[in-house]
Amino acid sequence: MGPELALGLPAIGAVLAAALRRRPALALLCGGLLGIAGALMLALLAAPPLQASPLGLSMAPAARALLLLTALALGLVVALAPPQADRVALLAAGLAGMTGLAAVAAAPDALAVAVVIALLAAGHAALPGGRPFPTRMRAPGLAVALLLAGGLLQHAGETPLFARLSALALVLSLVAAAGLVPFLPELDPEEPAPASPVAWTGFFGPALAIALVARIQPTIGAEGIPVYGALLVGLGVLNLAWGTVGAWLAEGEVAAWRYSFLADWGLALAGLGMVVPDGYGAAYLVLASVLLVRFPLYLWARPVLLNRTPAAMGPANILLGAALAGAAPFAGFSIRLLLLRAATEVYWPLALVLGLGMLIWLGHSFRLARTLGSPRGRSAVGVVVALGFSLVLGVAPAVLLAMGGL
Amino acid sequence: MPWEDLAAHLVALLVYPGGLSALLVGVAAEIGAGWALVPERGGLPAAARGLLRLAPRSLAPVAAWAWVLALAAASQLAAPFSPVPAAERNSLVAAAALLGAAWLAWSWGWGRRAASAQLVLSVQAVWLLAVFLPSIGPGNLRPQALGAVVLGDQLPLKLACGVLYLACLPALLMLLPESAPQGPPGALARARTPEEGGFIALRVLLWMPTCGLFASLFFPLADDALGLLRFLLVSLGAAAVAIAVAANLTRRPAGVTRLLYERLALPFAGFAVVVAALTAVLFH
Repeated sequence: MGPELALGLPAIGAVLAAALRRRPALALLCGGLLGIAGALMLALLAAPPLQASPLGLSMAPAARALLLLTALALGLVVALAPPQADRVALLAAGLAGMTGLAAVAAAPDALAVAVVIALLAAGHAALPGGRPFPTRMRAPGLAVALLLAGGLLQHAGETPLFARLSALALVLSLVAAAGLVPFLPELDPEEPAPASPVAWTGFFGPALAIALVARIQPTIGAEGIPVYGALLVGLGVLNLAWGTVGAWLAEGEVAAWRYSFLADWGLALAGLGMVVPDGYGAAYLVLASVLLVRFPLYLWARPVLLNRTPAAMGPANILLGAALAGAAPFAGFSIRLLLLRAATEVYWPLALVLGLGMLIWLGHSFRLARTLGSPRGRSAVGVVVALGFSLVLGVAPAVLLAMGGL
Repeated sequence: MPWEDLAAHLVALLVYPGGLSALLVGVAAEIGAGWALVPERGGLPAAARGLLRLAPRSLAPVAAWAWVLALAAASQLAAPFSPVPAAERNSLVAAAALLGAAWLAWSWGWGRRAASAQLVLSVQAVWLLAVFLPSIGPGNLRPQALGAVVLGDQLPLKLACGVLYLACLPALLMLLPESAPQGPPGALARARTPEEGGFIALRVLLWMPTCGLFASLFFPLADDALGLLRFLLVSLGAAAVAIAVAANLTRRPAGVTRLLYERLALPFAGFAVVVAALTAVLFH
C-alpha cells in the first residue's frame, strides 16, 4: 500500500487545507500533518516490504527522492513564508501538486503519465491568476500531445525513423512539460506565486522531469538514444544561454528570476542528455538545488519584486550572490564539477560551451541577491535554511546522490 | 420471468440498492448539500428541517415516473449483496434510466429560473463518454466487470473517465442553478406545486444511483462486508466531491459554471476519447 498512501495522504491534505481555509490554523495543521505523513511514506518506500502495491504502482528511486525534496521544499516555503503570503493557499496548491507528481512518478506507462500531467496542469491553470486558462494550458497541453505522439510512434513499427521521431517527441514533451525554451509560457509579474509559471518550473518541474525521464528513457531503443541525447544537450545549451543572458539583460527583476531558473534547467537538461552517470547525477543535483535553494529564495524575494520592501546589498546578499553564482562550497560548485567531468567524458568541446555559460552566469547572480533585500523574521530564517541546504548540497552531494540511488 | 427473479428485482427496486437505501443515502446527502450550499441558513438541523418542509404533499405523475427510473438505475449498480444477479445488471440501462429521469424533470422545468438545458445536455454527453469509454476495452457493459478492471492498460483511461465523471456530478445531481429547474438544494423555503416537491424528491433519489454508478464503474467491489463498506465510502466520497465543487461554483460570478464546462470539461472529454483510442491501439 506504500505508493498508494504516498499518493493519497497529500491528496487528502490538500482537500482538507482547501476546505478549512477559513480556519487557517486548523487548515495548516491538518494539511501539514498529512503532508508530513505522505513524505514519511515516501521515505519509507525505500524499504522493500512497503513497496508492495495492490494497484501495481512503483516509483523509481531518483523520482522518489526528488519527490521527498519537493515535500521538504513545500514545508520550508509554507513554514517560513513571508508575512503577506497566503500560507493555506500555498499549502493546498503544493499538496495537490505533490499528489500529481507522485502519480506521475507512480504511473505505469506514458499514457498514464500524459493523463496525470493533463490533470495536474489543468489544476494549476485553474488557480486564481492573471493569465487566461487557455494560455496557461498551452505548454502542458502541448507536452501531453507530444507525449501521446511519442508513445504512439514507439508502437508504429520497427523502422529506425519511428524510433527517432518518438525520441524527438518525448524529449520535446519533457521540455514543454517543464515550461522551458522553446515552450516558454508568458509571465505576469503580478500573478500570485502558486499560479505563476515560475512555480511550475521551480516547484513542480524538477520532480516531474526526473519522473518523466525515469519512465521514457528505458522505452527509447538504441536507435532513438542518439536523438534523445543530442536534443536534450542542444536544448540544455539553448536554455543555459537564454537563461544566463536573459537574467542579465531582463528589465524586470521577476523576469530576471525566471531566466535564472531557465539557466539552472539548461544545466539539468544537458546533464540528462549526456546519458552517463555523472551527467545524470549533476542533473539530479541541479534540480534538487532548484527545489531547495532557488525556488524558496524566489518566494522570499517576492516582497522586493512586488515593491513592498526595498532591495539591498548587505553582507548576507553578497553571500547569497555567491551561492546563486555556484561558488564553492555551495551547491553550484559540485554540480559544475560533475557536469564538466561528464561533458569531458562524452565530448570535450561541450565542456567548453558549458564552461562559457557558467562564466556568464556570474553576471546575474548578484542582481538576484539584491532582490532579497534585508530579510527579517521568518524570511531571514528561511534564507539561512536555504543557504544551509545549498551548503549541504555542495559539501556532501554523495548523500543526496545515494538517496536517489545514484 | 420466474417469480424468484421478479421478487429479486422488486426488492432491488424498492429496498436495496433502490428505494429505501436510496432514500436514506439521498436524505443524508441532500441535507449535507443544503448546508454546504447555503451555510448562512444555519447548521445541519436547519438544513434537515428545510428538506422536511419541501417533502411532496401530493403525487405528481411525471415526477413519480422519474422516481421509478431513478430507482431502476439504482437496481443496476454493482452494490454488494444486491439481489439482482450480477449478469443481469447493465450500465447502459442505468445510464439510460438516469438520463430519462433527468429529462422528465426538464420536461416540466424547461425555461424555469436560471436553468440551461443546453449546458445540461453537453454535460450529459460528457458523462456518457465517462460511463462508456472504459467499457470499450473489456467489451462489457456489466458494472461489476468494469469496476474489477483497475490494473494495467486501462488505468490511464479509467483515471481520465473517473475525473470526468466526478466533474459532471454537480450538474447531473442538479446542484447548480444552471442545471436544477427545481432550484439547487437549500434554495427554496417551500414547494409551490406538487411537481416542484416531486422533482426535489427526485434529486434525493438520484444521489444513490448516480454516485453508486461511479463506485460501480471505477472501483472493484466484492460481495462482502468490506465491499459494502467500500461501496458506501466511495459513493459518499463522490457525493462529497460533487457538493464541494457545487459549493465552490455557486459562490463564483454567474457564467463561471458554463465557462468551466465548456472550456475544461468538453476539451477534457475529447482528450479522454484520444486516450481511449490510444489504449485500444497500444494495448490491444
